[in-house]
Amino acid sequence: MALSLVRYLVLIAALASAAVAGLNDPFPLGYGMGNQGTVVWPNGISGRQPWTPAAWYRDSLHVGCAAAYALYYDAMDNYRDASTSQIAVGAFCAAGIITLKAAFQHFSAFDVYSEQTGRLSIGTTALRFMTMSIDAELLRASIGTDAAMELYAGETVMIPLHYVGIALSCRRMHIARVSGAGFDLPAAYSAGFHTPENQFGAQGVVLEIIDRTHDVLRLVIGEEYRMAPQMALCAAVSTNPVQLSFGLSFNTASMSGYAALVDHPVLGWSKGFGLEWAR
Amino acid sequence: MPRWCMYTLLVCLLAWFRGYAFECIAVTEVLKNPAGKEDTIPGGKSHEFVEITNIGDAALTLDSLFLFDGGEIDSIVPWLDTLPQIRSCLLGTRTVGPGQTALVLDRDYALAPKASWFVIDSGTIILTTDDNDIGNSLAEDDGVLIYKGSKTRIDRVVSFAADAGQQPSLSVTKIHHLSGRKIAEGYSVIPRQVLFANAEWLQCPDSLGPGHYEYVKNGWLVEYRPGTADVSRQTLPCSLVCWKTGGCAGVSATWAVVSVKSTVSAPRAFDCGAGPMRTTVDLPLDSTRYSLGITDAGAVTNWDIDISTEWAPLSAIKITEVFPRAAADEPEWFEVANISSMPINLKGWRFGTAEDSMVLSDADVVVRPSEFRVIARDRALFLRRYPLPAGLVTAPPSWVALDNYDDTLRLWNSRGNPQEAICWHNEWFASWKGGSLERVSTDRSGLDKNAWAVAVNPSPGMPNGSTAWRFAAQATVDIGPAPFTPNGDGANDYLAITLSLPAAATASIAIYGFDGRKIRDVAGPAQQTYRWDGRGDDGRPALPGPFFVVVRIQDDRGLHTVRKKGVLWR
Repeated sequence: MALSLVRYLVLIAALASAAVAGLNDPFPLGYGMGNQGTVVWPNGISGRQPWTPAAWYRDSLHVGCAAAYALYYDAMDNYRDASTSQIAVGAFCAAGIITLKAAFQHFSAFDVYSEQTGRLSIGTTALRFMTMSIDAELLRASIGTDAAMELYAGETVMIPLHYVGIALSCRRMHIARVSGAGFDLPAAYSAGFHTPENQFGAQGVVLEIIDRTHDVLRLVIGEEYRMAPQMALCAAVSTNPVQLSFGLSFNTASMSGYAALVDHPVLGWSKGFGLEWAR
Repeated sequence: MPRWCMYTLLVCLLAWFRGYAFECIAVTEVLKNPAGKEDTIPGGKSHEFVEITNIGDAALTLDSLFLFDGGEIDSIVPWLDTLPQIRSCLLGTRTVGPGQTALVLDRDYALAPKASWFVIDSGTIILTTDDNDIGNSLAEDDGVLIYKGSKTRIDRVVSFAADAGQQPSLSVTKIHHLSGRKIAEGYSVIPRQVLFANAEWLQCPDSLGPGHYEYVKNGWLVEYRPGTADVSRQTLPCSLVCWKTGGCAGVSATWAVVSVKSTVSAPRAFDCGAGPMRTTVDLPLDSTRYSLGITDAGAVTNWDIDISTEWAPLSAIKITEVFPRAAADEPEWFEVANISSMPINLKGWRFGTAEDSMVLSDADVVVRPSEFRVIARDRALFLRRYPLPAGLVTAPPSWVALDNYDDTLRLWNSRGNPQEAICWHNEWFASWKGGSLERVSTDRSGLDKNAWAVAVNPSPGMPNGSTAWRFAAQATVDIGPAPFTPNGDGANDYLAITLSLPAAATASIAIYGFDGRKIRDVAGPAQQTYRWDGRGDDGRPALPGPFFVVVRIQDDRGLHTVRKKGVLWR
């Protein structure tokens, strides 16, 4: 009874608090691109990604770093030579019950517009039945010499049950306007249900609620199938917008590499890849 | 020589002389199936009449003279009763002399109330039939045959008039209802020409004109028909027929054809011989309008010879806009433009569909080079909707109803030669919300769907500026400015999405955010440029960063997409 009450309170706290995300990213970077954030193993690649919440991590490795790159959408009919891309680098370290993640992302839209994001996430595994993290994100957007900077925060809770892990998060909660006119990002609440690896692979479902007038619900369903101990294929589909993604990952004892494609029915294909090291 | 031989010789001699006479009895006006409620006219269709004019120089007697309307044969007899409504006319006469006009009236005209009496020219011979009706009442498509003989035999046709084959819908009833003019009896029809065969029938320009043939001037009748232009000589042979009604005997007149630039023929003496003077003159193709003048007893009478249609290149008149969907506040109309470098007179032109045609105008409608003219079903209603100069709008005597979605519209010149044909189809109207069809290219055939585009804002009488952007051979989309800053500072607050589309193409516009979600749907293509205020369909400001304008275009090549990217900053 006491345990259930604690779980309930933590859930409420998670939903009521703030979490942080990128300004307008259509999908996660790195390993999460191929499965659109549906495959989450606390002791897997997704847990070690520096740009994901520290609450997703519960493993015995102590340190690691990663880099990822994404090229967004097909070439359009104007500014064909100018692409839209994002690069992310970051690291994590885990000591005792504390996990610390730090990441930096740089987004560039056809040499005109850019975003820089500094991300910090502190999590703990103090509780046996769940991990939780507090996330902070400093987001700067600029065009020419004009820039704006905002500070967001959020919280994520991961409850690993026997057959499924439940991840709850609240993102895009505004903390402070640092400079410029700022942004008006709608808050987003999400609940994810993620299975560990089983005979069918690993599955995940994420339901996201976005604070706006319509198209408030977004559903993502993903699957990862491990063809060999070192290689896995994944795919996911989302609604609002409808996107289909595919990913391929390789991993050794300390290194991982991943590549992914995401198809938007109107805007076309996005391409991404990443590398990760941990020990 | 016995006396009977003398008499016989005299009769033969008279008959021989009679052979030189020019007998020309023309049916010069017919009022059929008068409009209005029959119960307001005593005797039902009592106001029908047939006007005959003795144009020749031989008298016509009523002996054995019959009228046949295709249904019943009546004997033509003199009108004997003196009535106030025909007080100044000639009654009881059995002969229609040269130059005289006679009116065959329904017997029941005697019962007509005063308010509906005709204004009949003084001196008109009044005739009637031996029956209560003219024929079995003149229907809209009835012809009139006047002949000598009996009720069972035709010995000689005196005159024949039938417009049924040429103007099947030239209905006086329709004319009355569509014109908006309150003529209780509707309109009569008259032949355009009587000295040439195969006369075309028109609405009487005066609505009704019993007692005279409208095209006779000072007793003279002049008709012309252009031939085929001789390009090498730059001339147009034109057949002329001139005749003085009642005969030319003793007439010493001269005639000449002149233009503002030249004299085609010096004054020549009139030579009637045993009938009308028929001749041909070569009109130089350096003028569009000539004048034939007849000088008779010191008085000069002129007739215009308009050859603009012959001189002009084929299809100099283009239909440039059409509104086939009549509404309560807007009649059907179409616009024509003169794309040649010379004025063109639409008088006598016809317009119509594949099923029917009507005279566009009986009066002069001169369209100068590059000028527009609107042909509207209801002029007054049209001018209330579009306050244009009244001179730009012409209302034909009668109208051919246009189908809203699938139809053709054709133009014929005054000689009956096809000049223009357009069509429209149901599938063109996918995005039509009540505008007109505007022509975006006069180089293309009017039957080519790429020549037409739906216009949200009709522009009758003016260039089709609202659809000029639909003239592109290939679709293009431009957006700007970059970056787009909808922050209300007055600079770059709106994103302009500018389209150029082939005429037959349809397009839809959507704006996507960088996250792949659709921000805004824009209906189109109704205009060349759309302005986006940086807000979504829900009214919320879109996020800063990249966005995408996606235009889906459906054209002859199928469905294809044009995608443009931009940056929004606040």
